[in-house]
Amino acid sequence: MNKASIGYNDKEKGKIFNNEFMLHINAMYNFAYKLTLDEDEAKDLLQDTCMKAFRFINSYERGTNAKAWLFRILKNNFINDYRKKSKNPEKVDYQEVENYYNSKDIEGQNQETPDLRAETVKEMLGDEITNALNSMDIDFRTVIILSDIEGFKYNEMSKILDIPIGTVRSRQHRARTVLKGKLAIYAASMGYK
Amino acid sequence: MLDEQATEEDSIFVTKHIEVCYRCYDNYDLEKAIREVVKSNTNKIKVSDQIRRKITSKLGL
Repeated sequence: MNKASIGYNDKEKGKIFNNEFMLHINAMYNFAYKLTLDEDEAKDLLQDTCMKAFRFINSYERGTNAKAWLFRILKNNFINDYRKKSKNPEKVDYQEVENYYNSKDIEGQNQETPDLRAETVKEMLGDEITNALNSMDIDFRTVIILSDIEGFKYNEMSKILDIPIGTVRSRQHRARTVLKGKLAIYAASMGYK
Repeated sequence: MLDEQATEEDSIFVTKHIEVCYRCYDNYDLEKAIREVVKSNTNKIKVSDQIRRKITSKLGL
């Protein structure tokens, strides 16, 4: 996260990579998998991220927040890869994206959804939760993963996602509304009471 | 408060409020349950030794 470049020697680089980066390799792989939803792509994304992290290790300040730094690289790697694979690789207008999120009809969040109770949610199976999460828009899914699964704070998410803290909070709020709606619809369709 | 990022003052306010407001308590309870199931029901996959070795070998470590 530090903008200053530090000149580590090869031994120091290896030590940082093994002692600070490898600690987060499982979390990175899980994040990669939840983004790509594909085992092979997740492995490739993980390896590319590690290569890039090592290449740019001089911009990492030893002993700081390695996990957030690595997640930021991984997320950017994913976006670049995703854009390359899509037929529309032009730069994303983030204001347009946020306007879209703020629009009234996003994933039906303003529509009436069936009632949902905490007890019902607790009865749901892992697959049901995973399916609901995986069916969400990627940006919404990402904020839920970063906060609820990985435990990142708003300021860390802001750095990982390159968006202001206020936007993190509003996006997270909308993501939760969408997830709740999906779980409610699912619960109703499965006859949960 | 559920994200553990509220100030102490805000947390006290919310805690006191949900003690007396059933509607807000219900909502709080649901939000809490969703966070818990998302966290506990998400599979955590471990990276195999083979991939670890592949990465460190590519980097010459």
